Amino acid sequence: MVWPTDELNTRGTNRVKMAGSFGFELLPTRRQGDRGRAYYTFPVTAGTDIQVYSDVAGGVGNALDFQATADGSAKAAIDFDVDAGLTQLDTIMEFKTGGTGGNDWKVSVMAGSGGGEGVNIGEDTTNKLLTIMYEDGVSTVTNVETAIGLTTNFAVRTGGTGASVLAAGDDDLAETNLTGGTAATYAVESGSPSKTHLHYTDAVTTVTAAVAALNTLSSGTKMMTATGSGAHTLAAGDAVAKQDLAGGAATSGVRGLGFSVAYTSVGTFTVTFDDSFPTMISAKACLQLATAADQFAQVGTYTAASKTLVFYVWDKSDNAVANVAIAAGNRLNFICEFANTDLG
Amino acid sequence: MERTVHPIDSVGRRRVVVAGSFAPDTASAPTDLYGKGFTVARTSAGIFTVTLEQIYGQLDSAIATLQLATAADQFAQVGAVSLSAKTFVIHTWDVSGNAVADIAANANNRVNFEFVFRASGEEV
Repeated sequence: MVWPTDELNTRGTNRVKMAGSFGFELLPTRRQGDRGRAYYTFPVTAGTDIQVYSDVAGGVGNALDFQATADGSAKAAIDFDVDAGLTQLDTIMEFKTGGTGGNDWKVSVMAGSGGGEGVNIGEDTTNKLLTIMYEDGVSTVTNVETAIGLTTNFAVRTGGTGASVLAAGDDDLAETNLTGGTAATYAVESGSPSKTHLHYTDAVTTVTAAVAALNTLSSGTKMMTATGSGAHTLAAGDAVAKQDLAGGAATSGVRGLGFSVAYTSVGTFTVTFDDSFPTMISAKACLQLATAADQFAQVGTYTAASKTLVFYVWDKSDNAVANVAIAAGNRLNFICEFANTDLG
Repeated sequence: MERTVHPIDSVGRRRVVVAGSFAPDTASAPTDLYGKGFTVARTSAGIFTVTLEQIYGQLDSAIATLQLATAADQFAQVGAVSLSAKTFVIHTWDVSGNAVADIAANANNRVNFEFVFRASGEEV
């Protein structure tokens, strides 16, 4: 549809003027900051870097943080003193194998051994239950820890006060789950400002798995998206402390009606008109830059059959087409005039 | 010679076109303004500020081109636009000098521009 521009006349009949402009956030580059989204490149020593970028365009993404630590596959454990409230038994016991499987095990402690029997441990792998029975007033913390060391699935993480003697009642524990076992790779979001924390396992977590974990958080609200893939694994040395995402900027958008525009390749944009016009009488393009530079816009090929018009941005220093940085004041402007009929 | 002109249509309703041109005069103020509704000043070397008397809504497109009596490696470039201040900055860039630069006075050395506005409230 076209409408008259009041009192604007021209030579020739059935002329249609179209004006528009677009910003450069159309660049579909790997660095999502080029789309106005804040981003961070997480370097992977032996593989493809992982890109994380804000899910929200603009400067708001610059407040997001990213962190990665090689603490995946944590072992489930129980602190008999702190977690279970026992009085004499202050050992920290852990499941030997890292991962979430240890969280399925329970442990009970009771004064059930008879005179002279010492500490007895039952390890029920079917029901995932470890039963520790001690001799009231006789068994020491050291005795319990020695017995733990003889199990198949458990170990002493931190020894307690070895000489302490366990007492019935004070050192009795009903079946209680171990906790803290974690997956090899997982990510959580928390805090203010928001931080997305990747937990991975040295020589186990692949780039693909890390990206999947970041895009499917185990807890928190997804604030950023990760890209990257590969079977190569992350190393302990790849861990990074809190890193700020950066590069988020306001985007300019597309102005004008009757067309869409896409980034075709470096410094090359294709405008596709909604309507077909038999003849393009004139086309002008002009680069708008917040800071003057040796770049200019150039009109390329018009193809009436496909209703497309190509625009280039030429960089004189590079002597080639080139991309333009994302900035609110950087745009490519164009004005076209068409003949709406074949009558000239 | 009879000249027949006809109304021109546009894609999009209530578009307003402001076109004009001016002659740079090296380090002096521009001269020979063609078109209506604007003034222009030389802000600094190779930088001109066009100030419109009125803004006609939102800006869809801003074009600036350099017209030279003798071809040279120079071009015009639109710079900062402030609709609130009604100002449009136009740079004249010298490729050899890799910087903005003044344009010498010549009857056929001109900076041409065309701005297309979309009346407020119209579809983008």
